[in-house]
Amino acid sequence: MIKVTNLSFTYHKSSIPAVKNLNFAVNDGEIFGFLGPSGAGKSTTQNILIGLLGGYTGEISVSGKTLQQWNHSFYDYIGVCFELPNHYLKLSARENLQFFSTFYNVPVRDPVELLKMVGLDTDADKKVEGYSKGMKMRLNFIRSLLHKPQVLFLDEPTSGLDPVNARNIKDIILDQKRQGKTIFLTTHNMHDADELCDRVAFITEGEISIIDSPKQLKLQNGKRVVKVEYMNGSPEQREFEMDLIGENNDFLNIIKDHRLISIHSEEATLDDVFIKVTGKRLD
Amino acid sequence: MSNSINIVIREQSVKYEIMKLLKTILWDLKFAIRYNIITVAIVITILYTLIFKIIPGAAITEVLVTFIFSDPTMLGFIFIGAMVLFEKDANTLQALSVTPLKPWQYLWSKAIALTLIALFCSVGMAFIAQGFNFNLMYLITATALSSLLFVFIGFIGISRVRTFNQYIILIPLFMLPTILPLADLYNLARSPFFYLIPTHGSLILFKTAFEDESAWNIIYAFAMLGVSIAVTYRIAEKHYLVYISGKTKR
Repeated sequence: MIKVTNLSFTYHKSSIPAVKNLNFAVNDGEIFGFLGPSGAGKSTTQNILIGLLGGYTGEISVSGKTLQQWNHSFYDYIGVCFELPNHYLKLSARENLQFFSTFYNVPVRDPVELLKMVGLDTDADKKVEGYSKGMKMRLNFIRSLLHKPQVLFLDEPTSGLDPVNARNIKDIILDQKRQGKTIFLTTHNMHDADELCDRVAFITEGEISIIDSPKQLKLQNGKRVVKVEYMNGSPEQREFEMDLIGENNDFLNIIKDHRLISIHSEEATLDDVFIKVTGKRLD
Repeated sequence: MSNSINIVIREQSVKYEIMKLLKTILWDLKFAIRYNIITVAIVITILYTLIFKIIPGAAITEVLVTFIFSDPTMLGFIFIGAMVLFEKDANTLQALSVTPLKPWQYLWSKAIALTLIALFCSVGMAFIAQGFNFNLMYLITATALSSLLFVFIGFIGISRVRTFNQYIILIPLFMLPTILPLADLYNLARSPFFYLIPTHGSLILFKTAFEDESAWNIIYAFAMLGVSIAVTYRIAEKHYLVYISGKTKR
């Protein structure tokens, strides 16, 4: 679906490339996470992919056509949710969606249906200048779904949202995947990436260091041990190798004779893996 | 057979794109109302007409032409700046640049919406000052062509600035050369050099709305304004791609 080959880009007036020799492919119906700290080249890559930045080297194709082969119908095919709100503040949410509806050459969704999806239907006719940041972000998100795009580019879609609304947005993203949509998710939120993405790419200083599924990355980089916390007069904890744990008498005695506080497998978090692979933190 | 199908598809597509432009113009008029641009235009027009009514002799052709000329030109220049700055501030241009809206639709929509406002003000001003004693066709064409020209000039000016204060500084830079032909209107100076300034054409057409003018001058005015609009539109489109949408050639 999206294929990127040897992509490099250097901003005008800069001698250092913002992205260097990127190679990756996003499959149909996949959620592909692009993870990295601020300034790593995530937004640059997304801006190139959505046709906002030219002057790159390498090749990008979306659905078998290079960006040069696409005309304006490209924007009927893709939907973009930017990281920061960008609305007409003197218009209501409904009017903002109606205004953007006029541009598409494909059937669009009913604005009210979209507003309902993110709980903005009761504020549909309120001017956006009176919206909170979270409300504006939700409006940003649904605007990207307005024309039922086949490919979605989402930049930090849960940024600035409370846990309930973030959960709702993540559910909608997963629903889009179930409908067969391809999703390119740019984020520095490891929990979102872990939960949503089929595969993730780690990017730092303009280069991709690894691409794999979150599960594989966590397994490959974690410890195959179980940590048990239990009461032995006072709280104590011990670690046991996961292999043949059912034959480990020490482990079996603890879970039989003591009151357990917790048992956890010690696989790595995606955050741990990122630090281990790239040597950098995702702030 | 396939040729005729292609022609039908192309015609439908052109019709569709024109329809899209018309809808966008209606939205731009709505923005003009919401952002009080129409209110400001009406207030300025009322102030101008009060001058005609209060000051004795103010409605003489030269003064009337000066006022009616300055209305679409100055307001076109300032209002396009305001509209684009509102969009820059709210970052909506970024959102527009990932829709199928084409640069020509964006530019012509704003240009036509502001020109409609200018026409309403100019015709209203002329009517209050002169009743029905003017040539409506020349007034409409003079206003429309001058407004389009100055919207595109304003767009070129606004494309590289971030604040209205920066834009205000640009106004004399862009406007000073364009008002030089007023010297000819008031018989203060005559120079063939004025014929190189597009607003000389504007002033000739505005004057023609109230007085007779030679056919050559009228032909010159239409040609000069037509060419100037074409050139400034091309530059504005280029500026839209590079500085406004941030979208450089793929």
